[in-house]
Amino acid sequence: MRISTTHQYSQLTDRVANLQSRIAQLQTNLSTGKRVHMPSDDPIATTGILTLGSAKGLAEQHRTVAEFARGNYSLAENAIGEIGELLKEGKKLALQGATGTTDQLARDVIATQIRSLQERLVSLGNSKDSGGRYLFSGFEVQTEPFVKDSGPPPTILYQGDTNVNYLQVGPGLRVEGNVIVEQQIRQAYDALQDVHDRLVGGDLSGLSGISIQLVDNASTAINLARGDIGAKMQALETAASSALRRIDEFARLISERGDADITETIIDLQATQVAYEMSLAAFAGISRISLLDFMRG
Amino acid sequence: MAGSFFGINIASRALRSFETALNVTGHNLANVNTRGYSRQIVEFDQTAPLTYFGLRPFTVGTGAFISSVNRARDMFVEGRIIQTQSEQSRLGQMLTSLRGIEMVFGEPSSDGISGNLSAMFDSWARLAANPADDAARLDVRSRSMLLVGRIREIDAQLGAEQVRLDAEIRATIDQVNQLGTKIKELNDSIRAQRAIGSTPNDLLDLRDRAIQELAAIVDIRKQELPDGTMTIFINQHTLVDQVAARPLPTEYDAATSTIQLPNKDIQIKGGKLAGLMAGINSANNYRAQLDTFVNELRTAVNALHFTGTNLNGTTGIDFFVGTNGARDLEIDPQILADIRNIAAGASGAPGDGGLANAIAELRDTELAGLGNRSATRFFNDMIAVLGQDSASIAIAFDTQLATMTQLEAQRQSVSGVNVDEELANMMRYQRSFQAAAKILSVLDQTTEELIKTFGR
Repeated sequence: MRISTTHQYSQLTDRVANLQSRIAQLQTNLSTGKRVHMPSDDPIATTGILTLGSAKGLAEQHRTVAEFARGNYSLAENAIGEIGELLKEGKKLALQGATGTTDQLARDVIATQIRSLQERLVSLGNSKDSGGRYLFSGFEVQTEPFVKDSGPPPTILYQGDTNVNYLQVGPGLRVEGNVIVEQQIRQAYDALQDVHDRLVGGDLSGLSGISIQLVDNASTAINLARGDIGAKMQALETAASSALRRIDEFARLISERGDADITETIIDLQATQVAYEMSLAAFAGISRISLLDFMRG
Repeated sequence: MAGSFFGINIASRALRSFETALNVTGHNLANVNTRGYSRQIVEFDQTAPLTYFGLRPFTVGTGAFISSVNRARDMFVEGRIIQTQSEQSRLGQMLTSLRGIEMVFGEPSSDGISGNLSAMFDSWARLAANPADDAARLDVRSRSMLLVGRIREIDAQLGAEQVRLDAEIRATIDQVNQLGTKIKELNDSIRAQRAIGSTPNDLLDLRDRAIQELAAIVDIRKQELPDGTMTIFINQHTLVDQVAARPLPTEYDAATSTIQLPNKDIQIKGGKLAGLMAGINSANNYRAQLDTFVNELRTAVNALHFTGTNLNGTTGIDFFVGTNGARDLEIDPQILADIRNIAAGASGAPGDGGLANAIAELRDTELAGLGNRSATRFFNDMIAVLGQDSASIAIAFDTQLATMTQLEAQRQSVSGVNVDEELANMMRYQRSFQAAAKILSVLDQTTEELIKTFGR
């Protein structure tokens, strides 16, 4: 084939330009660590990156929510645990007051101790989360849920509601985001009130009978609530770790689609650079030879 | 017998011919870098011999003359180049437009619409978990503002792309008309030269180049008439004929890819012009899809938010405002003024995050207006289609480019100037010139000899 001078040069400049742009692209891939910069770089990979990115976003959302809820449940569990302990203490005091060897003066002192347990109970019922919001007041998180009512009979008033904030923590997985323990706390308060009243009234048989029974019932209710919270915490823990697994898996799949294989890219870059050098050498070589060099005069 | 100066005539004609040939070589060398130039070839021919009637009749050659200077040209390749050029330009322009749109959307990245949408849903989910938290509320507002900002920016850029393409289409139609006029003028000159029997190679080259430039802009058919006129058709429209150039109006319809004359529409199927119209269609299409996406997202979020009661106890507030796609998408001014106006629940109680949760779940909720796809899925699908379109056009363009390169090589192989070849020709003509001069000198000497001997 006859080669024109223009063609000779343009073929070489085209080739050099192509190699330069390939080198630039490979360098970009190396510096960003990414292989797909635009949808058209790899449309199928892009679809994957976007879809997986959304799925990863959702999994991250589930994880955040699950961990937040778990944090609140953990605080709730502590409070409920303390209420359990407090009821044990109440029962001990009731038994102490119910013995014949304890005189009325001592019983009055015990009644004061029961009173302070009640105070503590109310304060635990008004536990707050890390953001200063009440844990046990349903939707009314800014309203102190439990306040004492001097009666008669003295009892506590619940100012919260019984609404449950449902949270999505996994695909098709909804959990209750808050704990409603109004009944249990009221029961505990009333049981302690009963103990208090019988201590003050010197009702020994009532103390060892009905009062202990009421405190035990309240304890059982609190323990059940605690068990329920524990189970939910475990569910949240599972949800969070399963979300984390999904996040990792999605991240891996996204990376598989969109990230540059560094080794491969470096090898490719080196090969391209060699081709580039060869092209330049060929270019210089060809343009050096001309009939002009061999003509005299 | 031939006259005394017979030989001198032969030699001097040869000298003139070789000088002309050297000029042609010079012309070729001078145009080694001229786009569309076809190398010219000098054709020598013998002049008519003289017949002598002696004992036996015999003929004596009278030398040589230049019968023609031709363009080296392969008409078949030229025809294919014109077709390929149209298709290549169309695809190239479409690719530029689609790549532009891809860049406007800027996916895949965390700061595109996809990433911002995801971040907004995340913020709603956090608010759902912690509805009384002002920081979560603030986060919902700022994430939503970022999303709105990104959508508006992309919409504005797509709008600017539409305006830019429209201006370019008009300028390109002007260019078609200018080339039409140029071809018409060249036609006139070529016809005049042809009429006196000459072959205006350079004018033909100029016209071929104008035609190729035109083919790059719009798909044309050409037909050469016996008088040398080139008639140019753009589908149903005659752009140039023997009589005149007939300019195109700048009224066009990108959707049907037509230019609209008062009595008929001209279909534009190829060239940059078709690519520009396809580009404006793409920009329109993706902008419309963005509008659909925004409208559905706005309606879906508002439908939930409207029913909610905010911390100020008010209900019936939209979250997003606007009615017309992306261009007027905004966050409700009441929410911009006070984050407590964001409703996280139906009850308005500070711990109620039910509504926020429902809005967060919109991420995966299928919306009828988006073809039963979620907003996320709809957007991702749109970007995927954009990528596919762009990639397939890029492949088609590369194919055309390769074909074009090959055709160009073929054309260059016939028409292109090779410096070494021209230098060889130059030496050939130089030597021939020297030989002719030598003959002249010898003839001069013999004549001188005669004059010296008998001239006294």
